[in-house]
Amino acid sequence: MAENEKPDRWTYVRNRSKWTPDELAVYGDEWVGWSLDGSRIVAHHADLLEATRLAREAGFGGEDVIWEHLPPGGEVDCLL
Amino acid sequence: MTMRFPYAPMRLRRPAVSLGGRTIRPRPLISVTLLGPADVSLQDGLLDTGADDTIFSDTVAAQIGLDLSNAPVGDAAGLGPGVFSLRFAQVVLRVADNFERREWTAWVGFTSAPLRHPTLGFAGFLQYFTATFYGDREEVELTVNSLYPGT
Repeated sequence: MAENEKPDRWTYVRNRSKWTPDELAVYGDEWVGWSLDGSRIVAHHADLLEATRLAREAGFGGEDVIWEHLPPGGEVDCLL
Repeated sequence: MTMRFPYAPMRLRRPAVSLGGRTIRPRPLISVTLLGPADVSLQDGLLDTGADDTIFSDTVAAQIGLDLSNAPVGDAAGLGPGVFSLRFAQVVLRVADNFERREWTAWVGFTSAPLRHPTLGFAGFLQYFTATFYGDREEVELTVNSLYPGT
């Protein structure tokens, strides 16, 4: 994918925010790899290296995935 | 030039009393790319003016092929009672919006402590930018300053 074809941050944020805490709860305490448009999870695993391997297997390189570690119980109410 | 990013609205399980019952938390998260010797990693980092350092999980170091075995060490503390250790390495960081891209080398801390988001703190990150946080628009702007060492 060419650099100028990549989804922008605004698209990612808009799509990522559609995911509810209940939908994400199953990924608690895991590394989640998001597609660049934030619309889907391309790989997930408790071990980031294994999640990275799974993403590569699915055809996603290092700059094609945004990684996030979700808290064990899902999204927290407040960051300190 | 100025890079502009939206806050990320994170959905909550219950309404946030402190935000008048909103069910989202707007957070100043931006995507930052770490370029290591073996791979790159895109991470959503939290712009944190109260953080001294820029800190990522140590599994991210492994992901990009950074060897931390002889890395300089430090320690850190947050609100809890514990102190956790940091190992530092120089990494190339990259941030971009639709119109501008910035890339520089920075000292970054890595920790085994659980992080909800990587911390984009003063050293290595905010020291190189003028950051303007728009609470009303829920956007943040970053403009490189005179200390910025990159391209």
